[in-house]
Amino acid sequence: MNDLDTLEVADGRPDAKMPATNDRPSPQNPGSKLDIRGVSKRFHSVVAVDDVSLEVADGEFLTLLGPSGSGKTTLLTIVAGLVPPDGGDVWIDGKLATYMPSHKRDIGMVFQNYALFPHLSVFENIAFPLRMRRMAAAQIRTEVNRVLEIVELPEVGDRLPRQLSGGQQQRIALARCMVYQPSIIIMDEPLGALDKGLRDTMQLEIKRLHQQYGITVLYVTHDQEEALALSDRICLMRLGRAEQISTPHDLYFSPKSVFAANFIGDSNLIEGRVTQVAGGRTVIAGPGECVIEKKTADQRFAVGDPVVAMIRPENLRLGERSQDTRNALPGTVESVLFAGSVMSVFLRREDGAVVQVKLLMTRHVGENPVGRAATVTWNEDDVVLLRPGDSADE
Amino acid sequence: MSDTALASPGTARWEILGIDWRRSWPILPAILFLFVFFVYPVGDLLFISFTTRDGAFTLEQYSKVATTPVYGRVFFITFKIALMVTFFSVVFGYPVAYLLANASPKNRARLMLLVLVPFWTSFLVRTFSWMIILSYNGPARSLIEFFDGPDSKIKLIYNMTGVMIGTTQALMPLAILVMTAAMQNIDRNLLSAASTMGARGGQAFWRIYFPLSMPGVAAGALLTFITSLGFFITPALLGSPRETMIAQIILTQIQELLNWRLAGALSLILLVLALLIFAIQNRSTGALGEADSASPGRAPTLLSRAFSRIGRAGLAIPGWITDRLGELYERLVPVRPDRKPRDISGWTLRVFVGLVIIFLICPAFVVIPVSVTAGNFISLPPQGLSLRWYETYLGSTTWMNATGLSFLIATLTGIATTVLGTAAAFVLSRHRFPAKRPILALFLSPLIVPRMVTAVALFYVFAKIGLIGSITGLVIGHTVLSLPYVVVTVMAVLKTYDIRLDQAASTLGANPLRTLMRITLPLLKVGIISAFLFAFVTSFDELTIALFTSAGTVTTLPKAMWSDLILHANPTLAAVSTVILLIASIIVLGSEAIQRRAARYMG
Repeated sequence: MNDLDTLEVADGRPDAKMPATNDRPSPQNPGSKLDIRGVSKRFHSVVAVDDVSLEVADGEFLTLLGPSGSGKTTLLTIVAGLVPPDGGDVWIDGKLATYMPSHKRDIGMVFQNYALFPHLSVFENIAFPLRMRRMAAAQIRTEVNRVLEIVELPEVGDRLPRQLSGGQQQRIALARCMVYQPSIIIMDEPLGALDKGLRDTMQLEIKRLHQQYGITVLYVTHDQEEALALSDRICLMRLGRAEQISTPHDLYFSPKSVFAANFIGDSNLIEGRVTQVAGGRTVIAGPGECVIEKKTADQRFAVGDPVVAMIRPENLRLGERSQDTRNALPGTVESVLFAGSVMSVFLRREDGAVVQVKLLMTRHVGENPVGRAATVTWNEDDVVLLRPGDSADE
Repeated sequence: MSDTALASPGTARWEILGIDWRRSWPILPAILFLFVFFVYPVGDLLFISFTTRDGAFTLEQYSKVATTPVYGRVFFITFKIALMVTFFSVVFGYPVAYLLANASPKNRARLMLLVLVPFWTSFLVRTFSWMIILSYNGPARSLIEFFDGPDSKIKLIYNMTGVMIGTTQALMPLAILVMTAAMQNIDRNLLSAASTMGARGGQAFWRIYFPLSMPGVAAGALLTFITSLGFFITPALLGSPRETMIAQIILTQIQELLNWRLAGALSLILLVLALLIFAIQNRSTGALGEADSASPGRAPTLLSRAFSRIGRAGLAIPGWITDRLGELYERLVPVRPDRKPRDISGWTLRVFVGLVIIFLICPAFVVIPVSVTAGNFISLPPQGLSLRWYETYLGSTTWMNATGLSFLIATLTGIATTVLGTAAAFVLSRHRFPAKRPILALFLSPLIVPRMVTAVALFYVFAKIGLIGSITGLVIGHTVLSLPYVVVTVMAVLKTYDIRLDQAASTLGANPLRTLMRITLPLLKVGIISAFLFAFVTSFDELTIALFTSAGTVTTLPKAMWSDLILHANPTLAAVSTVILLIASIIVLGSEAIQRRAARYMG
């Protein structure tokens, strides 16, 4: 929970700029565009969001990632003001907005199906937020044309939304949010309706707009690759709670829980028991003869604790069967999956469990290894020790 | 199962009008039935209006209509009533449809049940209950005297007000139903999107939701208008001679003067007007019930762009007004970011809808207290309590025969319509052929053609082939009227039916018949049962055709009620009405229960 600790705001910390209207503390970091503190929401007996706190800095791209039912969409609608929370606070650009109606919040939202107004032209769709702000007609024209240039669709203003392709509609939905420069743009699985090829293109487009124009984004997806590719930070959600908030790199290489390790990427989980935590070493008795060693003394564990060692499949090496037992596991190659640049080899361990090894393919492919006895080995730096069970370390 | 996939070289011989009759034959009986008992009779009636007694061509009837001022006046009044009823139905029904369309599926089902109660309750019973409520010694009068003093000049019955109240209550559910169906297609996210972009509720509603709901409103208004054109029960019972509508004139021409030709001429004028309005509306806003107004692909013309700009400017005004009101309210009760806001507009809407639903449902229930009176006259509150009027009802052979006959005819109609309509619906929704639109239009046309016209036409044809005063004749007539409902209901169910289930059964070795009997029909059971009940209720409550074709020998329950209502309304009618209400409630609750049980496996 280290990352969470640094993110969470110490409640009641005195602040120089205390707002006059209420007695609640203003955000710890005045530069943050969005500050969610201890927000909860339940629907009847189901807890959809359970005491979630997170902060989005100016210009940051933060993704809420999680399986369906993890509460990410509910959290998003709370931020957008479409659903009131049961408890907690939402600050947008330094102003308390917990129960503000969404039209008084300084936000933009891109919906999964874009929610373009079907009876209004593209121009009127983009002009809508400006008209709501009573901008002068001439200025509206300039602004709309400006964002149409930004999304590289300058000639579609007269068309109706349905006359555009899916990718174009997506760009217009983005343009409609960008035109009034809200503090934060919220995106609810905006690429969910597109097919694979277009999704990749639009990922690049969103990334470009984010970087070039410094917009702050709160993004929701259940697609881990999308989250890893786009985000500055990812908030992994599970059962309404923020399981882990880290950079994509940390989330992938240092997951804090078995759940995080399983949800992001492929992982091998090897169960064992701690036999030594001292002298700059952590030693674990794995399955069979296997001994897992790390060159640091991990003080979270004590001798005798059950532990799960997580190793990414691409960090495993496949070799001839050897007598090594330190950071090595013997087994028999059971099946092989060829996926172009990568090949997955599935090794049946002697205790029956399966280990996955990912090999980067080069032109020289050896003979088919199925049925051969082999041993997988790894570097001790690539082992992440986790507590058994689904939840994060406390 | 697409036609093209199965087309074989031998197909051509079986193809007429682009339909492969080897596979589409089940639609044939229904088409033939409609041609023989609907298209031909109506055509024949219209034809004789152009002929003299010896068959020569003449426009005599039409010149008579044109030169007699009373007809012009009646047409004017008919239009006026229809327009006003349409206006009230749409304006008061709109909020109800809005709430229905945006409620959760569970709440929508419950609310829909309430809105549909008047649909299932006998039209005569409802009109009768308005007679009780609005009469000179009824509860509405007491209310007026309470506010306006005992000498108040306000009259609620035997004038335009009475006709408005009765007809609006009768037709508003129809408007609500059509508008709800269209509004359900409007994406809820659009309002959320407008809100996140800074639109207050008023602007979001008037600029986004309202224009998108217009096609639904137009379709609802159209159906309400066309249906009300043919009304004669409410103006006859709740209005005065000054509110005479065209259908009443047709009725008199036949019943008292036996003037076929003039009745035919008036029917043709009524029909042409109805079709004209239908065509104009269809052209301006797209097909009935289709939510998308602007046609895809068509570039906006200069004119349409100008219109849409004017429309937008016009809608900005109510949006501006509602928003200023909202701001004014916020000045009094400021928005607090730390408090949950009170949902004022939501509660206003709910209260309004509640009042409309009370207006739709409650009046019918006054027949219950009236039926248990011990006195000799209709009175509310009842004078003393007794079951004497139920004894009168149960002891009267006329009433008992009428009840039995209505049950028999309704059951036969239900069976005939379900068989014909289900077969036709299967073909219409599963097969592709070029003539589909005109055939669908044929099936729906009994809804568009005023009922009075259909009834007169059937009377004319039945008289020639000796079906007057027969049960067969009534069943045929009622089947014509209820066929559209059955076809539409079954087609709606088939739309959600996953045809891959049939294909799965087929690959597992079931032949087409076994697939139909063991997979398709059991899964569609609920839809077919509700289609049957629709037909049953339509027939059970049908008066127009019964008035003409029963010839005094076969008296159905509605016809017996009508005679009593016209001649001497008495508490027996209240007892009969209560029984009918009870039957209707059993049917509604029964079909609800069936649907709920089916919901377990139908997602």
